[in-house]
Amino acid sequence: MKRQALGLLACLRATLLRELQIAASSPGKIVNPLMFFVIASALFPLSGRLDLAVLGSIAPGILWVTALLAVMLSMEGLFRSDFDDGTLEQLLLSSQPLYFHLLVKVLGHWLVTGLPLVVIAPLLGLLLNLPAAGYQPLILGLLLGTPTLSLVAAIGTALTVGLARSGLLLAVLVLPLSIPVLVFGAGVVDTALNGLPVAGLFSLLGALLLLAASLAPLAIAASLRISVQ
Amino acid sequence: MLQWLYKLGSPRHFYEMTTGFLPWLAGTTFLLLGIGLVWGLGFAPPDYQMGDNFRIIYIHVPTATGAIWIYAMMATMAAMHLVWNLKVADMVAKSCGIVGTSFCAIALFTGAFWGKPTWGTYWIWDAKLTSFLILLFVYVGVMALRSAFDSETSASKAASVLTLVGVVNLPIIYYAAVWWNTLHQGPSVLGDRDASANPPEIWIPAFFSGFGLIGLLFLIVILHTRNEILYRERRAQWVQELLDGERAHA
Amino acid sequence: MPEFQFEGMADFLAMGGHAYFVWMSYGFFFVVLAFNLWLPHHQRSRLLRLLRAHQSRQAARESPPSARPAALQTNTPPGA
Repeated sequence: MKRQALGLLACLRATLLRELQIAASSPGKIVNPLMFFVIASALFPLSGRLDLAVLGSIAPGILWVTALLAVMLSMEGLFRSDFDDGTLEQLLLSSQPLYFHLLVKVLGHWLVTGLPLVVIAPLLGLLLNLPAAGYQPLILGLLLGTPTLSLVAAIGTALTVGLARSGLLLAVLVLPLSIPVLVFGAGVVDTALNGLPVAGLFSLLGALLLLAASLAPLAIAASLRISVQ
Repeated sequence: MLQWLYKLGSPRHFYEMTTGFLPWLAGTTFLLLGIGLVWGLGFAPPDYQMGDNFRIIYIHVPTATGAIWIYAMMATMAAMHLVWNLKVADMVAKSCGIVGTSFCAIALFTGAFWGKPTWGTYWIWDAKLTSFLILLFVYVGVMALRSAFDSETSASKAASVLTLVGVVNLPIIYYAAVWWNTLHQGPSVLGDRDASANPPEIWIPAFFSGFGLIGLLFLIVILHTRNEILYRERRAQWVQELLDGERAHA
Repeated sequence: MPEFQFEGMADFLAMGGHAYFVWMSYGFFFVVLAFNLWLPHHQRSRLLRLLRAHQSRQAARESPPSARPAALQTNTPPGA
């Protein structure tokens, strides 16, 4: 028994390291979602002649939407290279439980794509004139919310990995399911800016994360099996 | 009873059993719907607050509830398809997509036109409306995913998985009104209509139109499922014979 | 026995001033309803047409042509 448990942990650690190594070898994986986040967020003040107060009030919404899009778009390649070279089928056939493996894979992906968004968000908050009270709930909210978004987007990616030109379809599938996270995440910043208590919304975000972490790997596994057929 | 349900799982029996049942269902449906809407439009006393605008309720409420039930039915069928590989379950699920989207769209549209005179706005981003809009998006997403696959088995299974993932939206629709209210200090603008003070002349037609719309959704789902059965089983002997029979009638 | 709530047809169509909202809602409902009833009917006729055409092609392929020599003629009647 003990040997099997060690085997699992070693496998998971190897998966995590592999994800990080792949990201390190192609810096585009880290930089591109980040640049999308920055540029897309900057488009709003650039395009509209918004006065600063208005900009500050819609800043939480802008940041959350662009973060969601960045996560979703970066997720597209999560399984594709494995799908193309047959690694995915090997994975599905292996004796290691798929559930944890997928969880760790998405975690690794999030560390590389989602976490940088959380780090750079305060800088973008400055650009968008976010009031001072909004920074902490923004960072914390994104920290709780982006892993959830990654998990949900991974389900969509797994469903569409076998399809060609699936980018827009992926959006149609994933965005509606991400709306609750978006609403609560942007809502927690708005609520904080209005001086109201935010604990409830944070616990909701946490609950969504727990829900996603426990159920999404099942859906991802089922979707991968379908796509590989 | 159980054997009857079991029989429904076979495409051929489903088709043959519904052939006889369909005219009866259609007749009852239109009768109930007709009574409900005519009564509601012409004979129910006008609401003292909303005047005659409240008559939209007779469409709005049943279609809204129907949209949720159809999704629940679609999800049950999806689960049955994934677990037991029932073809008929998948065909019914596919048929539920169009009907569900339609009901959802009607509910949102009629709700907007009910809301404008009553609360001053066509739309508001509150819990109920937002989660209902998400439901519409999920319906469309499931249909989009299904049509994206070339292989029918892959399409069925993928759509089933996505339908089940989308089930998380149903509790959100139910409880979001509660969550929103406890988190935001102000009361929700679009609360539930207080039904306690309504005389029976108002809610009896609602029963008729409600059951009429339930019949309607089953009618349309069954019609679509029958087409699906004919298509997927087109190589079977009984379908060939059916076609010959149809040709004799034509 | 419920009584008719309006003075006449004109009053009924006016819906107490809310004519636009009520009739837009009911109108949308009936349009969507009609579409949902028309669609399976249309798909059915198209499907039957397609299947019958396919069936005819299959039958034409399988049945022996009348010009075949008697020695090769099978038991199945032509054009079945």
